[in-house]
Amino acid sequence: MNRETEVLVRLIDASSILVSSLDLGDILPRGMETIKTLLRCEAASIMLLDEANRRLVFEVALGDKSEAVKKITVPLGEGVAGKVALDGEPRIVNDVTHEAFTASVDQRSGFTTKCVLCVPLMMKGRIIGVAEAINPMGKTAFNEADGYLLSLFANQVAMVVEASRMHIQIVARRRMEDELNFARQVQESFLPHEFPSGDIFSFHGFSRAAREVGGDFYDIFPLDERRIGFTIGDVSGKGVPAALFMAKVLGQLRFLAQKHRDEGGPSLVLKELNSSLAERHSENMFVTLIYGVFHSDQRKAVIASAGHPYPFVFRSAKLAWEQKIVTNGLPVGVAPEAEYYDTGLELSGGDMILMVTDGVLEADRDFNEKKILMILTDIYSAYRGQKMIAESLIKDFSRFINKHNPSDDFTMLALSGK
Amino acid sequence: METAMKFEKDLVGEVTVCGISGEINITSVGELRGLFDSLVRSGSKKVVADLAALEYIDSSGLAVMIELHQRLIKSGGVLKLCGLNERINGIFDVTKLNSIFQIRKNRETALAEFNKA
Repeated sequence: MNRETEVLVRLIDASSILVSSLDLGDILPRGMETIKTLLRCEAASIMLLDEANRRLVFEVALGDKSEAVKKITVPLGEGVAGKVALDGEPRIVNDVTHEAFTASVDQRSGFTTKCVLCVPLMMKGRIIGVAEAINPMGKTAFNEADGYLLSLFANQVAMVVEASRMHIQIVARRRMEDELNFARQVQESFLPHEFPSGDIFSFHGFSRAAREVGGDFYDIFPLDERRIGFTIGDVSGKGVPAALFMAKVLGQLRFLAQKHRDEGGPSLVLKELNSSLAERHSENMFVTLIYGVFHSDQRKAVIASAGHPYPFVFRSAKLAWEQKIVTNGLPVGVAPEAEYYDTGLELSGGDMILMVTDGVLEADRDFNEKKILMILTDIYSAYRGQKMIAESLIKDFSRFINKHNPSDDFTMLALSGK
Repeated sequence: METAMKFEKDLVGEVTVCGISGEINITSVGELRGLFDSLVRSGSKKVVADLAALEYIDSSGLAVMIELHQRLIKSGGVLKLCGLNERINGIFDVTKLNSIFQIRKNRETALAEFNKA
């Protein structure tokens, strides 16, 4: 094989090795070995730039003392490689006796450097590392043709290093997306898909987790033929930890709601929920929530609130919305000894109880409780005497909040009397 | 537009005063938690959080304040909040968190209490 053919064959070899996988630990040493053979030199290496620490780190080192060399890092601007990495100019130094840094590296590695050929690894105008060939065999100096060959190889190395880094980023991003999807699924699996209704009442709810997986939830579950438990809440924080904490809260709440359905009222359920969560949790999370029981035979709901925004109530007798100020207890999970209080709410035909999370109250900077009452009054007026039921109110109100703030979480739950 | 959170630490005698302005939300809460963590680790016992220029705090921000409060209590310290605007005061009121925090009118009142004690 003449030299020209050899160059061509080796370059094609190196090139096929470099594109054969994204595992840099496998392809770079093999590709470099091919080039080392082609350049007929004693040692060869690839160093990548650690931008944070402004140093070159050996990715590949081939030659007698490669293990010792790999432990060394090169500060940007020091030695031949450090200078190439700083200004991006390829260098051939056929007499390194004046290079103090090279001498110190040799002292540590036990290798004797005579000639250095070094080219930058460039990606979109950025220097990401260098490739180096050391001590030509059978001749006393590297020449420009050697420099050209190493540059051809370096260009390809730069591309595969970049591709591999992008691949790693994509995999990491996908893993995070998977986690968020998991959290979203956990959260969605807890939202009821059917809303109970009867001759004199109907429930409806809506929850939107927009930007990240939110910590909002609501739930409606029968306690017996006459009574229905309902809750709406907001876990501090977002993402997987919030979703798991929410799962724990809802699981415990359902259990305690059944356990205490005949005694104590919702306040006792919250008190026990709080003491079990506040004593044994280290997630530094808390939850604001309302838990209530609707007594269908008495047209009455009893609610207890743990630091949650006050509910809005529509009274058909007055044809007006008002905010029901209830006696709040601390959010659940803050202090084990917190107290909670029951509040009774009558639900005549045409009445409505609307509970929201703070995403509704903060949907707009100008929003406050008064503004919300005005919006609800406008929505009611649009019915022009037709019956306002939970489902239609939630649809109209959520559409309005959506329009004002398309990026935050919010949740609402309504109970209407027929 | 969201306003970025700013944190300024000041030492007045033995009291560490943290001025927190802007918004404490899901994007800034991690940074605040780190700042509070190094505060507790460095041995600060008397802490005032001056919220006079705080525009917004979400539930994850409240959780971090509670965490600081609880960690200080455990190490024999005290946290006082001051300068809450009407809206933020409302949040502490509705959530009943005003029953666990010592909330004072302004920085001077909070400092005077520490100095008396």
